[in-house]
Amino acid sequence: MVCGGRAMAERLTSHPDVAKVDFCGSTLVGQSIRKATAGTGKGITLQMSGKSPNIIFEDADLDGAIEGIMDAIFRNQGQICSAGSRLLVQESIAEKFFAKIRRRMSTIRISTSLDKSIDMSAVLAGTARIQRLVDTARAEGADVWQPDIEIPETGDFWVPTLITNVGPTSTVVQNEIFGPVVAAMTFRDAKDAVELANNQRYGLGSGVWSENISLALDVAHQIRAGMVWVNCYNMFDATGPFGGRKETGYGRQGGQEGLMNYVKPKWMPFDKHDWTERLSDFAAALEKWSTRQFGIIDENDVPFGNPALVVDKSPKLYISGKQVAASSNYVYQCRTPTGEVIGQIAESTSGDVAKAIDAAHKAAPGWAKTAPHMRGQLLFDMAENLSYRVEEFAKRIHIMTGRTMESCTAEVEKAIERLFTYASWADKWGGRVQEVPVYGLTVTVNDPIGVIGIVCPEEYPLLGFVSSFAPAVARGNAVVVVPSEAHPLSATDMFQIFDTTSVPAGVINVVTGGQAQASRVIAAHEDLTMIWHFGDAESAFFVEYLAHDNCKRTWCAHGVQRDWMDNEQGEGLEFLHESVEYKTIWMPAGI
Amino acid sequence: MVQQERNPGMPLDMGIINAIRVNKAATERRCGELGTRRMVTGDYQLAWLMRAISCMDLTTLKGNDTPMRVFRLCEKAKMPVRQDMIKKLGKADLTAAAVCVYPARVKDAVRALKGTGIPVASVATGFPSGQTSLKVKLAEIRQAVVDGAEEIDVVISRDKVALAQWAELYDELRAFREACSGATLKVIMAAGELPTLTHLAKASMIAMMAGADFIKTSTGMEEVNATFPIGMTMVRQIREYYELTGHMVGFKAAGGINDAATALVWLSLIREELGVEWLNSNYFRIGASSLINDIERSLWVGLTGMCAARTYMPLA
Repeated sequence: MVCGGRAMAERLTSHPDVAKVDFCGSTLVGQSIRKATAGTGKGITLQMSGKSPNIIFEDADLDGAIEGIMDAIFRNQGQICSAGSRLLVQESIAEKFFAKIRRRMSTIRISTSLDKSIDMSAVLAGTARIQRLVDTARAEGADVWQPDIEIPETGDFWVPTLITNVGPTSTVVQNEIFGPVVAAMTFRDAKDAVELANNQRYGLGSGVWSENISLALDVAHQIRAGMVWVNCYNMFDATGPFGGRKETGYGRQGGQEGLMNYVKPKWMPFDKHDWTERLSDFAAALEKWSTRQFGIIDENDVPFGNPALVVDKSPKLYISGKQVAASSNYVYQCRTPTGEVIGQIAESTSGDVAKAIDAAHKAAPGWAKTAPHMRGQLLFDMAENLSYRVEEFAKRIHIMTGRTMESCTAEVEKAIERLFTYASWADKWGGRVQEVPVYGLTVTVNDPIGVIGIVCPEEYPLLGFVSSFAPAVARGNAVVVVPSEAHPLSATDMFQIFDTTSVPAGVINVVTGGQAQASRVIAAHEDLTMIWHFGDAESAFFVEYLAHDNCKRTWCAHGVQRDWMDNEQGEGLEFLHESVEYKTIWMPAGI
Repeated sequence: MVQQERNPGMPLDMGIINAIRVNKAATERRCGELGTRRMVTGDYQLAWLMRAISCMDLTTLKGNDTPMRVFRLCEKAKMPVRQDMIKKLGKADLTAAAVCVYPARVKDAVRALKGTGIPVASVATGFPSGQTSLKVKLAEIRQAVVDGAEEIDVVISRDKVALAQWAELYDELRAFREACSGATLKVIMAAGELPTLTHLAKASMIAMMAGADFIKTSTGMEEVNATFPIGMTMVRQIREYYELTGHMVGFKAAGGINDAATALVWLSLIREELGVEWLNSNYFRIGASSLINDIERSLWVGLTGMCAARTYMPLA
């Protein structure tokens, strides 16, 4: 065990012999670790800031909830990433409840940690930042209340503080204070509460106080956070995973879910990469990587097939259930191995990719709520529709890649099988009951992430494509998929299969074109929280680097190619794990 | 900018009203090209977006509005753009133009906006349908003014328009103007419920003759709200009235303006058809609620090049 500050952290995390980094701390430092480790192949878990909502409904045990507030924001001086620092109180009980809070705050005892009769002790790292934020609250017109209690004359102590008369626009509502200060707002009903709860950058903890189980579970399902504490707060145990989403970070600590962050598939090599020279002038390197030479259509190009019958094959993009033209007029040639042209492929612009992401966002909530069985049925349907066209799809792969018809047919049949596999997983991987020391029920729900951006592998034009979107879609996500750059026609042929299968508009979106360009847009997009990248190691570097901005979760191949035909490599637990956000809901019980 | 004197109105002139004719197809053709001929980009776009915010009436008109919901909206009116962004933009004093609520919520809004200089607008006269007696409508206006509303958004009686009862319409609106006394009168055309654009044009002119300070497209609750043909028709009448009397009347577009791109086209319409003198909160308003978040996201893109997450912008 070593001690040290930021410099030590940077040295440790960037050391070539370190294979995994697990970081808990501020978002700023977490982002710099992401940048420093980008593309290296190291595993990384980030647990950073939070601004967690603690929601009190009118039918809660109010006095119980008061003690929950003590756990959430006052014990430990509120200096825990999952602190319930935003208090949301139902309007109908607000006045009564705030009176209770003030009474309770007046009974808090603060002293040094050696005193055996205390509720709170000193704050870490001084009081200057807390002071600044509380002053800002006053300046913005908030009401700042503190009980009249004693604190030691010397040392960094802060009197517990309640701030009311604030809205979502207030500085103290948006920003982590990291002290015993709670900002309180009221809400009318559950819909309001959920909207307020989710209106934040972070996604770590949350508290739900209600004696109504239907209400509590409904709200628990809708909150976008890694932890939901029902009628309790800040409960932890090594058996149960802990962690957050959005700009809190990714990965979990504890439980089997947390263990997933420390393992990799046996067959997978662990290649290390060093990109320090790119870091010295990142902007220039980024431009070079993502600048694309648009090909010139050469009149001497030989089209594939009978010249008399040739009709230009110019597939479009697939956005929101429709085939749409790319907004640029640039195309590139898809060629056979001997150079004949078999298609003009649209170059998606950053606007097209953004549009696809928007379409996915519109579809995601409805798809996540679709019964898992129905999601499975859709994928079974898709497999059936594909099965009518095996020969055609195999022939397409054969022409694009030159592989034997036998190999290509096997690929198509494997794709059908894979759709069956994930159709089956659609309703059989919902989560786990965690055997924590607290009596009641603690479950980890495998929630969809929302929208996933996927950059497909170059190998296996159909199977790679199907193996990429199927797990994500089966688990309730909407996707934006960038197919193989060299061989996209198998993916574009799938548009008709999607249509025949009646895939809900926006659940699957496909944007063709340069993978680097599309990866750049997806990796930098702040309204996307997950990207899968099955491409080369250098691209993985740029993707992981760009992902630091909104602490986007990434799953990159770093240039490791998979044998997608082999079930051990092409499907399974890995893919399911990367398709979900683990939400752990603690529900202590008892009569 | 020289503050014009308030529109005093004029006696009803049926000669003018009878001569009004609108060709729908031609109007639609002109509107179809609106977004294509004037591109606003870069720093200019940031400035235009901030101007759009300064012209917004942040609105909540729901049956389940409570004091706390109104409070939250007023906070957003005071700080429409997130603090870190407004710092970068260098416009710390940016606020919305007004907050628009139902009469029962006026006092709550007035309390929440105390000391900020942001006016409270109240809807009145049996909003949204207007299907109530004149006596009740006038009482509603007066009560809202007593409660502290500085602007009143009234609805016209669409039945009078359908039956071509122009003189009755004029008289009613004149009575509204009187009941408002010092408060700004915005007259809602509910254009989506009027038979034709020609009817809309006539009703707009009558409203201005009766002394409207603003004419407004819709309640936001019609099946069709603020479309460009509707806006174009009204704005052309505003221009006519100005040329006739020298008085500037304001225009408010309400309902169906959901994204920043659309808001920019509206600003461009005003600028082209009326002029830069109309492009401020004294003469142009957009009634909206969720639009502010899309503008905030567009400002973020303009400032950083990044597409922002929806949940990052503080709720209105």
